[in-house]
Amino acid sequence: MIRIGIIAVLLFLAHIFFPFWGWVMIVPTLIASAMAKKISSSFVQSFIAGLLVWGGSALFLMLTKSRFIAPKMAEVLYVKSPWLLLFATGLLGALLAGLGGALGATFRFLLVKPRRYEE
Amino acid sequence: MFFKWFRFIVLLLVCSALFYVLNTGIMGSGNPIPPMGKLVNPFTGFWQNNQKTDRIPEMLSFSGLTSSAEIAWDERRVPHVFAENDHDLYFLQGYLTASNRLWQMDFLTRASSGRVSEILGTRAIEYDRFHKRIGLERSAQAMLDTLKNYPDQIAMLSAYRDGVNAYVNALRPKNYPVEFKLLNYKPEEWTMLKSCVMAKAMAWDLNGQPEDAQMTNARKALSDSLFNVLYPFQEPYYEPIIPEGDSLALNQAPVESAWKTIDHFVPAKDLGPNYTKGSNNWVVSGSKTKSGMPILANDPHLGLNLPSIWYEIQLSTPEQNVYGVSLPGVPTVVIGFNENVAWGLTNCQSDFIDFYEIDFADDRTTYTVEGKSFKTEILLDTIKVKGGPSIVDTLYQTNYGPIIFTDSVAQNSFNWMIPGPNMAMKWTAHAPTTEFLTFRALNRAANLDDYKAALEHFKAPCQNIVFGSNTNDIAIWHKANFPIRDASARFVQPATLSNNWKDVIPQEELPHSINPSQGFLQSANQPPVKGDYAYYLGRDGYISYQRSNRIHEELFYMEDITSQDLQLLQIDSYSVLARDILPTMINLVDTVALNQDELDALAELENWNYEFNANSKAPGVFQAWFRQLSRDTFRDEVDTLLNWQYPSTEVLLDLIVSDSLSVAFDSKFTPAIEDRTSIVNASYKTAVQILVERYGSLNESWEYGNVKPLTIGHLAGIDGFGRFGLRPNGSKRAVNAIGSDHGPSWRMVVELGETPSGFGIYPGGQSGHPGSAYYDAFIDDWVLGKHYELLFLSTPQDPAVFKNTQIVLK
Repeated sequence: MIRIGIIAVLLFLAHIFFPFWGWVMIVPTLIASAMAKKISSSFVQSFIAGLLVWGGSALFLMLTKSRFIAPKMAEVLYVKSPWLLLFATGLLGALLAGLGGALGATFRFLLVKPRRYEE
Repeated sequence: MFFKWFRFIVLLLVCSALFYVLNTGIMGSGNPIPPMGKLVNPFTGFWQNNQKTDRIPEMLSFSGLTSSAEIAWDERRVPHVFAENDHDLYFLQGYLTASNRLWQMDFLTRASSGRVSEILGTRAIEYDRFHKRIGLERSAQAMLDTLKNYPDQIAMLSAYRDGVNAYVNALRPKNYPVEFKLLNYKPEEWTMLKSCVMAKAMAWDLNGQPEDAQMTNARKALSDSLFNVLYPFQEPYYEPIIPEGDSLALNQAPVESAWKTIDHFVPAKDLGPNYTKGSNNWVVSGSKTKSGMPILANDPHLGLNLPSIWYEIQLSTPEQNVYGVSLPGVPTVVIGFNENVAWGLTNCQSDFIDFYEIDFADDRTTYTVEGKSFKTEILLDTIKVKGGPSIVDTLYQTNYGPIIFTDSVAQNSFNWMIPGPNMAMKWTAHAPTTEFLTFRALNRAANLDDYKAALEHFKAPCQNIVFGSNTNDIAIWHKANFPIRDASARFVQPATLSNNWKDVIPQEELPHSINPSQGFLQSANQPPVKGDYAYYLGRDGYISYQRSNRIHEELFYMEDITSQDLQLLQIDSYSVLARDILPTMINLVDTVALNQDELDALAELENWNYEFNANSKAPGVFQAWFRQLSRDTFRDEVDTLLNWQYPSTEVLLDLIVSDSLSVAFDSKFTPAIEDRTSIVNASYKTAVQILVERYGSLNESWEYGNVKPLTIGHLAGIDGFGRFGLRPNGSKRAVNAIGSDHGPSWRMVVELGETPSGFGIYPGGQSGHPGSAYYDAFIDDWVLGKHYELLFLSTPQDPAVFKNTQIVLK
């Protein structure tokens, strides 16, 4: 949980202060390469963090001021429903973050041994 | 250890590949796939293109202003700009237009300059090559060079440019208009040249339908007598722009005797019948109005797109106060009114493009005219291509204009009018034109003399400029620079030493009328004069009598006219063509030979009031029948493999109602002898059959709104950003000239007086941002035929807007 929180907060701050979409992969990669324990849990934690940050932010914008753009973009991107577009945004963020987390973990384990039985 | 490296490298490759694709998109041969990572992330992607563009900050601040200003926003998001001087006024016009329409301004100028390949890659190369060769940007550069002689023009254009760039330079990537994100490119700085390119783009849109190739083919294929019947120099029936009897003292026919045209066909595609769009304007003098003051109306018909071609604005300084619509990318109001005068535009449809066949030497470095050799000017131009090497294109420029094709090229939607290889294209808008002077002068005109002086600078594209003033003057002028030519200019000509352009017709001798005794003036793209006139004005798709006659008939009989009367006339869907031809057509139908479907459809026609209403079924039947009648009558006359066009609606009307024995009715394709009756009956049966096959036996789906729905598509064809299946009343056969993708782009009615009172609407919205509440806000009301009251303010503190007045600091 704490790890998810750390990834989510840092990812959100990076997105807000340094506008670049690629943070969603880079931030989980960096965090995982510093503190990953397992590849799978690193993937899952980053996945959830990505989902929270991208999906949550999109949900906020959807509910506040996207009454016109969301349905139009849903049409443009062939998903028809704005809710499906919201879901796709969250899922894309989650997958990219998850992959980043997994990449960071595999990098970490090139240098340090995974502590398998800690828990 | 190896496995650890292996999984790391595999994951690294997967992540890198994903990042690359999501960051740059895919440019394939199909629709390009946008860079999805950039596009959908909630922090810099499309989610940011939401209603926050609709926020009006209380305060704006620009270092580029010379003093402070105020902008009052009304509830339809029309900005009413109150500035201390011209510089600040046009600076703010640039800023406001850009903040609402930046992508549209970028895309339109890019398309006209032949720079689409820079964003869409190889698919746009032919489009760019064509637009570079016709020379819109070169002409724009010549225009700008000429405007440098007018310091107030350069001051205006540079202030506008600085205003646009104040927006562009403050724009962060997350706030780029969404189309930039979808097409994956960046906004660039505005230039004065781009404003001139916009003017040339408009000129091309209005002039770019020359008939020279079609007329050449028709002339070659037909006997002289049949050619004159099918393609008469003056169509029958129309009510001219200049009232008959309002003598121009020029009763002398243009030289038509010695037609010189090339002696071979020019191949191209079959355009079919009715390639037309048009516009209406009229003005009634105080003698016919309730208030005793003139009322002016204008509805220019253009291709309808989102974002809309017009941006509504009020521009006020201590020296001027003007309201109307502006063209994004161009300073000033283009169609509008001020305290004293109102003006409006329709397209002339006269002939402004001539084609000359050039006799080149083998290497095209020289060409020969009547034995005399001339040097070709050879220019190199570069087409930059996204994701590929640039292309260097060679342009051959002659004294007769640029060569558009050097070899035969597949003809398509943007180049169909070019007759073939080695044809030079001479166009009036190639010359350095000064229409911005006209608009600036009209914006601050106070009377008839100001109007005439403003028109001196209007050289292209030709417009019927209608005018009214609160000193009770009305006027109309068919105005452009017309080269003096003989009537051979209607055809593709061999280049000769004598047929190149030299002098222009003086303004005073162009068709015009001031305060005519009939008390009104009107234009609807019909020929300006009837009978003899001393000069060749030519004709490129004069549009038929259908709108002009209806407007003339209505205005002729109206008395005590009010604004509301003229608003109703703008949305009038009555077809004089149907009234004039349908009774004859119905009379000729042999009802004994009809099946049930044909009888049902005929009953609809017999009960029709000749109005093209969206919920009536008769208009669709009439349209299908008339179109089939045109095809059945004319398709054998000229080889359909060639570039040619069907004779006009009026010619067919004339044959049906008064020339029943015409040889045109007999089809060369059949051994039998067809006559009027057999053609009318056969075309009726075919038309009904087509409708039944498409919609089944007579039912609700025959309603005209369903048979011919209106699309207002996005400018770059992005489907989700357009509006489809709209059902307005109207047809291009009626004053309310709505087609399937074009129609009245701005309806305006202005009553002059102590203060003017205006009404208007356009089928779009003030914001060009698809995420804005104001993107398509006017469309539904426009479909219903409503007009909005235009808020003409004298101060920005008007109670109607005081809550939304924005202070602008320098």
